[in-house]
Amino acid sequence: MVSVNTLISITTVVFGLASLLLISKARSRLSRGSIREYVDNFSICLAFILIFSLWQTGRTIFGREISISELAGYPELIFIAFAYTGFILVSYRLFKISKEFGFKEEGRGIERIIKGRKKR
Amino acid sequence: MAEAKALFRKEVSNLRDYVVLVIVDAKKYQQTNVELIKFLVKEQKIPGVYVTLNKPYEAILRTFEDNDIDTRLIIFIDAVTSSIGQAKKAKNCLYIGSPEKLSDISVAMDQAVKALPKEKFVFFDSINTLAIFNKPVTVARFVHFLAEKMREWKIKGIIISLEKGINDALMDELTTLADSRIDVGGS
Repeated sequence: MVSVNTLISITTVVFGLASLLLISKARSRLSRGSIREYVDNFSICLAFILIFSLWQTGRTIFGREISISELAGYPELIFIAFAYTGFILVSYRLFKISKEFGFKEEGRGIERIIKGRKKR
Repeated sequence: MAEAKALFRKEVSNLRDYVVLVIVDAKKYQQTNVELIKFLVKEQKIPGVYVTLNKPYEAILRTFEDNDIDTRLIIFIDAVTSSIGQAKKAKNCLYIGSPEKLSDISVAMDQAVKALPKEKFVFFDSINTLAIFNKPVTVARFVHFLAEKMREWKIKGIIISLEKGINDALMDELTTLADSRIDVGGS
């Protein structure tokens, strides 16, 4: 009988793999540039999360058989720490992209000029 | 040299939103661009987005200012000036870095168009440079995307192409996609 824990772990891994597949498909459609670099960074973070989930699933299925003495929990922590470090970098990149590609300020400025002209 | 403007005015007078393909002779290229932008910004008082794959922003800005065009109403997307690494923004211009970065150009155009008030134009200068830096299939796909987007955005879209240097199949494709085609100074 498969436990709920195992079922959830396997589902998480399947979702993670599906996400990576979708991202790699999306990447292949993009030409080089800021957006593709963002996708690259995001894929790395996702890969770490996926490894984390895989490790955890392995532990759930095999108990502590794959552990090296009592250190089985540490790799998980390392993977998740790498993933979150990556997410910080990705968020910063996204912040930079929004600064460069966002035109709201310029749009407002143009709207002000047009309104100013109409008033005159 | 009011030929381009007269032809353009005639073609678009009854249209609210449009995609117009302007085929221009190399000798008349700069003058045609100035005339069309003058017509849109100065006469019609419409803000817009100018995508340049041909001349750097600084050069275009100087030309427009010399021609008394209010450049404050235009958001420039410059894919000519090479920038190291990521895209960079200065004043009302976003430097993409290379005409090969089609995804970045598309995203920048989308963001710029959506930031502008309701009535606006997109001036794409030019298809030829795209064809130099990208594979024919990629150019064809991008042209399709561009025309589709211009319709979706409900804007006045102008696509510039030089008479020579573009293959017949792509030219036919462009002509089919546009609402109207204007030939300036050539066949």
